[in-house]
Amino acid sequence: MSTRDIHTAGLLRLCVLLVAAALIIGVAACGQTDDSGPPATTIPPTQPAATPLAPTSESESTPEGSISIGTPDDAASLTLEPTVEGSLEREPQVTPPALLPGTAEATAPALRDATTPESEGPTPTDTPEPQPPAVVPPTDTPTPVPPTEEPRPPAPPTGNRVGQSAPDFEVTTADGITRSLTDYKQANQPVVLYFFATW
Amino acid sequence: MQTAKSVYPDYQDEVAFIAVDVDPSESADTIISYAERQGYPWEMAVYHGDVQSAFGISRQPSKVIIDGDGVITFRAAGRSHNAGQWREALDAVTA
Repeated sequence: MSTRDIHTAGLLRLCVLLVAAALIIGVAACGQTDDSGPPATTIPPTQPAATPLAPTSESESTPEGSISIGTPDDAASLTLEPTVEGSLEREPQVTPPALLPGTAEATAPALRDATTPESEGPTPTDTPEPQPPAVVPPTDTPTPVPPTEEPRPPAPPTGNRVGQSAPDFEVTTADGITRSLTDYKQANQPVVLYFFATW
Repeated sequence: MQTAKSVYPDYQDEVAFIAVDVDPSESADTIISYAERQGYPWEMAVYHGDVQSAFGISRQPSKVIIDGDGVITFRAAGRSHNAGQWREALDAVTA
């Protein structure tokens, strides 16, 4: 029977230990809010009085603890952020070359395309520019022709005074030859008309 | 016309000289014989009242010089013009 007692005593001890462990675990797991009851019993009875004061401070501290826990989380997030930054750094490292060649090539052709339409824009203006010179020579070619013709067309009015166009005349010589001013003008030959009589 | 005859050789290649009779009664034969007597080397034309009036000729002798463009450059009446005046007028149309 003593062995049984010993076993029971051991079982009891185990049970007590288990209960104690469970309590401790419960206290540790449930936090200090639930500790108001049991821990007051286990830990000093004075703490319940102090605990109401402490819990306020501790509650503040617990939020701090939670904040501290949050801070490590933030730190972790911060640590994660650098990793994100690292990823960002990696991304820019990857993206810049991808963007540089991609954007450069894309922008370059885009700029080339943009320049080409712009160049095409100017080229139409350039094409008109070559066209004007092409137009200028014809204008020059006609212009020299008119000035040479112009001095002739502005002939003075017809009359019998100096500076006037002589009236067109047609005479017949004693030999029967017809002479007209038109013929002399076509030959650009000056004419002397001498009006006379035999007496 | 003797003064004109003196300068004519210098301008005959460039200027046409035509003498136009102002007397309608004078025939072509009369004019030809007259030209031969005076030794006029240029062409002699019979009377042309329309031309005479067109040029406003009221006296004889009268001269009218027309340049190659048909513009009148000189006109005078009478026998008072010397060889120098003739040359000056002819040089103006041949220069």
